[in-house]
Amino acid sequence: MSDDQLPEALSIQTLLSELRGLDKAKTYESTSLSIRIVITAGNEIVGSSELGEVVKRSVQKGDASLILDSATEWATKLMQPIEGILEARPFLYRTAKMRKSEDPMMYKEVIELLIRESVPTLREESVLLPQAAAVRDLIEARPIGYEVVRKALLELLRAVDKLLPEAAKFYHELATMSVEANRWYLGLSFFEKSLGIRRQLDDLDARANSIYQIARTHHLMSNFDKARTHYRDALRLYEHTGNQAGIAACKSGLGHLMTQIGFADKAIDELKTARRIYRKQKNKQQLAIVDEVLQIAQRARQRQLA
Amino acid sequence: MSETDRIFDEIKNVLARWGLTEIPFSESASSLSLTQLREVFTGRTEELREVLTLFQGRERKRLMVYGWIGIGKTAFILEVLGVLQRRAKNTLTAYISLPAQTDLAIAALVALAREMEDDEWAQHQLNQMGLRPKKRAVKKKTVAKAGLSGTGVETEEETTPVNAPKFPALAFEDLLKRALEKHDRVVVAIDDLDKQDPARVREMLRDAQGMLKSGAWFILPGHPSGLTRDLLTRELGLFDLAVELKPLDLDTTYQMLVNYLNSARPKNTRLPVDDPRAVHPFTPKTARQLCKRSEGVPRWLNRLASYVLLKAAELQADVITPKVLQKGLEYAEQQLRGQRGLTSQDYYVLDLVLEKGTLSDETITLEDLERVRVKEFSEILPILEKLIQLDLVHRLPSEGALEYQATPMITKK
Repeated sequence: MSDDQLPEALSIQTLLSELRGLDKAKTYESTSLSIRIVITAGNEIVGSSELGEVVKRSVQKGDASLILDSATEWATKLMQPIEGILEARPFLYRTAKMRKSEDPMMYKEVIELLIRESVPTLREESVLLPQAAAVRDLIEARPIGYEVVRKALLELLRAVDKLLPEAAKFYHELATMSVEANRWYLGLSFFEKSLGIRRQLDDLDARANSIYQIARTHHLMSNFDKARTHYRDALRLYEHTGNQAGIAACKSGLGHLMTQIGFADKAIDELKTARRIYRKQKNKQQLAIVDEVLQIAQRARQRQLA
Repeated sequence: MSETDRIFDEIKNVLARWGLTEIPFSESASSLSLTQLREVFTGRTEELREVLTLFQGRERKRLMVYGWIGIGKTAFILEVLGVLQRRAKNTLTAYISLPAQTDLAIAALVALAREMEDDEWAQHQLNQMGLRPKKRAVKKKTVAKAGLSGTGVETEEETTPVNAPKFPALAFEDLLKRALEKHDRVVVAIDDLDKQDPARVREMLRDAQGMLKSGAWFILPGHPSGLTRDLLTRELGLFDLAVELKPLDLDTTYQMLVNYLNSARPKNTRLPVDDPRAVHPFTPKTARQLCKRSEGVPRWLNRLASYVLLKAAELQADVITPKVLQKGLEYAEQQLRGQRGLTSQDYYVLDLVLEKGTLSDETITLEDLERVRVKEFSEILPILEKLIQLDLVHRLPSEGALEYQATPMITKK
């Protein structure tokens, strides 16, 4: 477990003790199990930052496809509980905000949902569902149950929210590796997953980055319509946050694309803006690329005029 | 006579006064019989000439028919197949609307198998795929043990195989070979391909390259975006001819209106297009106004004409005057906006389109997007697609940007 997760984990430990201290502590196992699943998956994800390097080295050795397949399989298993809870997140938040007077049955639904979404095997589900029923009974019998379950939910949500950026980064890494290994469709699906998570977060630059990568992948695949729309989506977000490097990257991509589909004038406008930014940033490598595309666009315009 | 009977008779009487047996307009050509289609199909002379000339050749070809939604691609394809059925010698034609989640090879196989009614293999194949063959499935004799186990008594009974959907054991190429043993030419049309995501279509076409280059003729509708179309024809070299269907001109649209109305009149009362009574209950003036409003898009003409007639029937109008037409157009707008399945977010997006006039992925702002509760244009694309299917919005033929406008049916002009 990484250091920055420690306070969160301690708080969850406290909560678990509190749960255990209640009259029928065992009946709260379902909630605590859900929390533990999230924490475990989170630890795996945090630890997975090494994965990128391992796979990249394997790619260099020419063993890309095999490694990518196993990484994909592993990622699918690893992310299952997180994705399940992500789906249920709006519902969980709504329930966690409820006051005890509103609807005790909601808590039963929440617990069942957590188990359904976060426990992948039927065996475990069959063990836990009766416990969920017991939670409901206890809640109905003892008003104190509301508050404890509500707190448990909030802790669970905090734990999930903390994992989200890591989970998105994890998918992003897998996507990049897939695209590098020419597994474009696989890469796109991972970028989409990463974007799906980032849409729930406030970091607009990270979100724009996912969109930009989707645009690039579509561009590689000659899906020009989709690439163009995604470049523009990313550009709007980068312009909003004032991220100059992001703006330049999108303008450069759009310029290249517009040249390819025969809009030389528009392409030149985009490329000139990208060049201005790269010059300011003294990014010689990108500047050289933009200059080359700009020359192609200018030649295309001359041909059109002729 | 009940009140319901009275209303029914009242409406029938209005139609009778108009000289019509029914309201003939139809949103989709696929819902028309071949005879009805022959009666109402209008124009496209040049395009038909281009396509039918190819069919005089021996070498098989792959054709793409492209144009915006509602422009009449299905009608065109069905008309071509119809004429081949009637006039071409020993030609087998097959048509299918591409089912969701189905690849082209399976769609082509199903289409062809359905037309090979006398081929036991083909019919068995359909049965195996869980699809109802046109003919009763071939019964298969199997030997089963009856009674208690261990008695050793065997009886024969006839069973029809269980219809569980599964991948076909017979490939399209195998079935085609069987079809070509009996026919000189096989033409397969796979419709509604353009309703899929263009990126997915490219993937499907790439996967189906082998099949498309087999011994059959293929007719496919193309996505209206020139970008995708160019890629398919140039990059993959898949199509020998791409035929573009454009909106009809005003005179042809008027002719189409006459053809539709005539199709609902007794044969001896049908009138030529230059007779002003041919458009009754419309007047030539309101008929032209209607045609102009539909902008030469057959599906819009059908929708509008249908709603206007319904409203006129409700008003018991003998003639569709400009005032009645106006009420009919308002009714059409009401009906289109009130279609089932529209969510509040769909309405937000529609309102944004109406407010902007043209909604473009190039010029839309983040503030505009936030008003419809998203931050990316890509997030509203599924909604825009839905609005297109419901004829509320249409995509403009621009290739530098994704641009959308409300259809003329819901914009007051």
